[in-house]
Amino acid sequence: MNVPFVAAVVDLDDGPSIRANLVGAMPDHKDIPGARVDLITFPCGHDSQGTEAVAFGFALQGSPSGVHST
Amino acid sequence: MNGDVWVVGVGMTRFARYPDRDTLDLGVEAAAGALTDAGFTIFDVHTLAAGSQFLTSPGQKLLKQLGQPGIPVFNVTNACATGATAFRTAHLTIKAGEADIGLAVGMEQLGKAGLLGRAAREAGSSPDVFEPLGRDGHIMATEGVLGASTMPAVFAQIGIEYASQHGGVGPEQFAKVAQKNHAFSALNPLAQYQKVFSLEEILAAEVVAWPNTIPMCCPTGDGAAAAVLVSDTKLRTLDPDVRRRAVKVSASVLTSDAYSPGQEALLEINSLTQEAADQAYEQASLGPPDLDLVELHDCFATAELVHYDNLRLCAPGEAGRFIDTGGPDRDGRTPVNVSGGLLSKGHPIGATGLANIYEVVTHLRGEAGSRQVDGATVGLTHVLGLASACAVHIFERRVS
Repeated sequence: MNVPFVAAVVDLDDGPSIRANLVGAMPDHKDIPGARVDLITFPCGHDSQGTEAVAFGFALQGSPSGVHST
Repeated sequence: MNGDVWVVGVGMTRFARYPDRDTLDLGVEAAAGALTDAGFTIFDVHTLAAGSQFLTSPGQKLLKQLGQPGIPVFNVTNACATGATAFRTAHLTIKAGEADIGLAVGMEQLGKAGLLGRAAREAGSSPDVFEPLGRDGHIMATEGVLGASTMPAVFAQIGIEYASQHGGVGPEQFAKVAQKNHAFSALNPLAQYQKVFSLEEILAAEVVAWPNTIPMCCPTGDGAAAAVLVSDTKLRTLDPDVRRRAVKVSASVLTSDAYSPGQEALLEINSLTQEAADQAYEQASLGPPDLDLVELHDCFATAELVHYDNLRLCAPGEAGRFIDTGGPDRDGRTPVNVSGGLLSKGHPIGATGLANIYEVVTHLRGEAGSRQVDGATVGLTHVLGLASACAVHIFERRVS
């Protein structure tokens, strides 16, 4: 895995919490706790036959979300 | 057996890295030390509880070195609560009336293991061909992809969760925990490290998992610790000098994590610690203001801070203020981890719980030398293993 990465616990509006990466977030940590985020997907690897693996993550609202490779 | 249970012997190796010794050598040193301290040999002992996270059947292997009296052996594994679980097992056996003399030993050899669990998680992280595996059909390792569950990550998140919910807690408060414990360890010849750091050095060190930098994370290492416990009946028959140094087990509590929402995302360390502490205070008929010292599970600086609150050492939400006002200092309201704690004394997993007991018992006997908490009469030990086991014990000096 590439470091640094931002691992987070995201509290969903409906109650449950989920462990995920904050994709694209810089480790500028001060503003992250309590920030609102959007669900995104991103490619996280591929095998020798070209099959791509896709993971979910979250992006800080207002940040350029979308695809980030890891 | 309705009477009290007493600690009459403790032993411990220095926590360090011992590439020229085996786990059992460390266990023998600690167990023999505790037996000698109590004036016993292994052939006096009625029951043995032995803990190790990574060595199988540690009790029988230990007895093949110490002597083989054929006594019942309980081998226990309970993550970072392993040593304290061994102590509690010996305690239970005496309470049940099945033994008058019990030996509890915890031992571990981690060497320079690095970040625990990392190797297993990275194995298979890039398979040649994706194939669904396991109950969740994963095709690759998810560590670092779907968040993180390594110990530094978990305890970083636990600290940040606390800081988000309560005022007055930030990187500086967490760093002060590490500054305090490293300073304490300079007085402990059994500590793995005895190096003092400034607050600036701690904050500027390399980040492992924010906000914890390297000196805010416990090291891996090797070591063992042991305790000898006896019943009231047995204590009355022992030499006056052994009785004088006896320490009463006023509370012995073990809890696991009750269900709470969100624990699939972040392992639970708080509620089971609060529950264990509350049960222990009730058992001992004592409260937090009665404690003269506490040895708690500071695997990371963030952990120690939240446990001030969990163990009721401060008012709810006031852990930041507690460290800022010197509450856990040697001359503070409740000295915490004067041994140097896991952060600097070290954390050979299976030994840690018994090492905390060693420390508190040594202070209650007035035998802690330059790091002695003056006049200590009541002490509490706490360990927390994931996921999740919590042990809390309260000890009192014998009043003759």
